[in-house]
Amino acid sequence: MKSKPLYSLGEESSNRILGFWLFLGAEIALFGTLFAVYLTLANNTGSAPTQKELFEMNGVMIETFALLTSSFTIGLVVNAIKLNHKKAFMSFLIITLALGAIFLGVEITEFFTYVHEGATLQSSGALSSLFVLLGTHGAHVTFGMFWGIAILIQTYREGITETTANKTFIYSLYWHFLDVVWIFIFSFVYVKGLIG
Amino acid sequence: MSALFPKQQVVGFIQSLVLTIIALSVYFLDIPYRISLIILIVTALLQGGLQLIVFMHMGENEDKSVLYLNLGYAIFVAVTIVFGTLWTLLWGW
Repeated sequence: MKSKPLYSLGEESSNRILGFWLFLGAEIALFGTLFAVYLTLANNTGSAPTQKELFEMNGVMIETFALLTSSFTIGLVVNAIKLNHKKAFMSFLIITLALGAIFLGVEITEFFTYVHEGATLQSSGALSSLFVLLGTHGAHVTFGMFWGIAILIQTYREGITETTANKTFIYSLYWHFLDVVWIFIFSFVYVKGLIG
Repeated sequence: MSALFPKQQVVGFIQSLVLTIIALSVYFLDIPYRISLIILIVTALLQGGLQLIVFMHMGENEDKSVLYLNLGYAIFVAVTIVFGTLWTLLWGW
């Protein structure tokens, strides 16, 4: 029989992982409602700029590749746990967080540009729902940055233990989930908005 | 060194890049709107599934059946909300 990985050794560790999956189920419902609102209001642009006028494919592509690559590198962090390779763990986690920072930097710049072009939260139904959807995802990524830094510090101090391995695995689930949500935003907000 | 980059995850990453490029082609090529939307739906679903299986190690969990049940229910709720909303508010029911 295959031995259990370090991150899900004890019963408590397994329960934490299971509990986090249940939480992700609720998150799917949350983002589902936000997508429903956006897709309903997407054409209600009034006299405000439309998505086609606002969206810039270059920034969106950088955001997408940054987040996709970070999803890969956080997977490598989990793999480093299995190898008990602390140096690789730290390096891949730092790369993951750096890519997260690039994503957030581009997104924040994008928001500033939108507001500068007269597209604010109050401008139209489409823009209100757009900002709420993007903002909720961006807030999740921001939270994930702090979470990742905390894990980085704890692992730096204590090494790869059952505790830090378990926390890291749960964090990786969160990060992959945010990547999946972004793929849907990329496809059904940006690409759809630009071709529609 | 190669142990740091397991084949399964490298292949998964390449697949996710390819799916993204296919989704992007909808923007760069002149494809009819309806077909574009179908391509986007298919690539987004495949991308999501890829993350769940390859990167989130869903199948390795000992409570696998509970996870699938919970995920299935969450997706059911999300799909009902999204398409229920579109059906009643946009598609002229």
